[in-house]
Amino acid sequence: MHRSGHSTDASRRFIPAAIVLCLLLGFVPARYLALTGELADKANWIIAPISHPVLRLAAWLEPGRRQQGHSPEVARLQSDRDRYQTMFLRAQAEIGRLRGQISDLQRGIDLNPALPVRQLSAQVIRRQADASGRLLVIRGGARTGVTPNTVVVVNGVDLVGRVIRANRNTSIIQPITSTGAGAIDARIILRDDGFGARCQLRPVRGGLLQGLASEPEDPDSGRIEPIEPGRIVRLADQTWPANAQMLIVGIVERVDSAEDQLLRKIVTVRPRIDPARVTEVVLRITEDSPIPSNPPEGGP
Amino acid sequence: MRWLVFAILAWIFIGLEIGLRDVLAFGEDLAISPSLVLPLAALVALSATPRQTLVACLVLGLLVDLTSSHELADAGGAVTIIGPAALGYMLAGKFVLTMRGLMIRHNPLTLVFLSIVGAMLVNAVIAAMLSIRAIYDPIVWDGGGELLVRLGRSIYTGAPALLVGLISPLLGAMLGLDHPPRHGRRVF
Repeated sequence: MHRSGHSTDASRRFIPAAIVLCLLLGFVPARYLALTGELADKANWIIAPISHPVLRLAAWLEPGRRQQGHSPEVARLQSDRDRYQTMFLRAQAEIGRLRGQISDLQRGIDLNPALPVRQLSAQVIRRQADASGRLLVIRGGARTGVTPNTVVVVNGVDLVGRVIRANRNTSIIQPITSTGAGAIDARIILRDDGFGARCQLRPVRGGLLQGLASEPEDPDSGRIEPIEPGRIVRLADQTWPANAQMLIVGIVERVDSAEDQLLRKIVTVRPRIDPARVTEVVLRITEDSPIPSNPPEGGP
Repeated sequence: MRWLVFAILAWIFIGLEIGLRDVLAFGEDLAISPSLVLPLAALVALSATPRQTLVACLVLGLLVDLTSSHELADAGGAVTIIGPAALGYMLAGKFVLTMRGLMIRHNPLTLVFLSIVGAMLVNAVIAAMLSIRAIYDPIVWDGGGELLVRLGRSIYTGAPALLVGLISPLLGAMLGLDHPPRHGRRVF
């Protein structure tokens, strides 16, 4: 069957035109690529029905790489302990914050009140692992109230990361261990009452976080509290939302001496949950983020 | 070629590639994982007409681009870049078109060889474009590390290519590629 001359010409021009378009798009600066994010949102939504079941199957098939757990009863008790400890430490931090707020209000400065949090479970539909970083794509986006900076956890208290892009149906999460995530302020908990050492952690290779910390002196006894492997590290970073404070960043895996700073230690922290291995996460959405009642056109 | 079957296979293959990535991955940060989409592109390119091959490779490359995100430095977000994989896949398709007259089409090892070299071409194009982009864009990009990882991925792509090669008669029949191409050179 012969085609008309016009359609043959158009057909011949299609491939060169596609190449030129790809070249142009390939070099357009990132700030002009908002539209590609929406296209990626559609693509992720389309592949989700196959990628998520396969991810779950894959997680089930690889017992060697799963977190080594105890019996279900012990695991439940540990989970309860972590949850209540998080609540206790958060209450302590909240008391400190409110004291500061009272002090500020007395000076005439109005601050934002604490915001209630809504938790939303979301499936991971795509993981990306490159030498340059690792991102997660989840099912759940602006339609369900997800906004950039929404905090992402698993098991209620283990911090995974935060949303860096919220499309209509999907969102991209940057785990705290991702190269581009930058530094986070944290506290190494040394006693049950929350006493601990502050540190700033940066992502390093192998899904770990590393930073310098000084061993603090107990104000009552004057004794230096040593930082030891196995200590829990919690988020204490004011650049993160209030509902993320005191979530568990990980466990101290190694403590080394800093060659050039005798009074400080190099602390290596491993998250309890490998962000690259989760199949479901919980989003902690602050209630001031309105759910669009009339979503924009173009989605399913 | 049956484009509807191709679309379904592309959907399945990209879903499997994403889902199975961590199970099949090894190396530091589990970054070395094979591509399952590239053997499909090589299979199409072995038998389809040149035009069908380039369109199919363009579609697969666009899918790969759209399902990849690149981090921006200092928690600056993420960006989806369309183009690098699309161009890479088209180059790989062109490479297979050039080579297929010299290859034994029904030997599974042919698909293994073409997939590995094709993956190297795809990754070279992606690495080159992202390296240039990293000059003016704040994307998180470790050029040296990425090249090594991508070389490992290219070689590893030979493993799924062997599986695809073993079922290639079935896939070829489903795609309507079991006949020699009308416009391309006849292969064995």
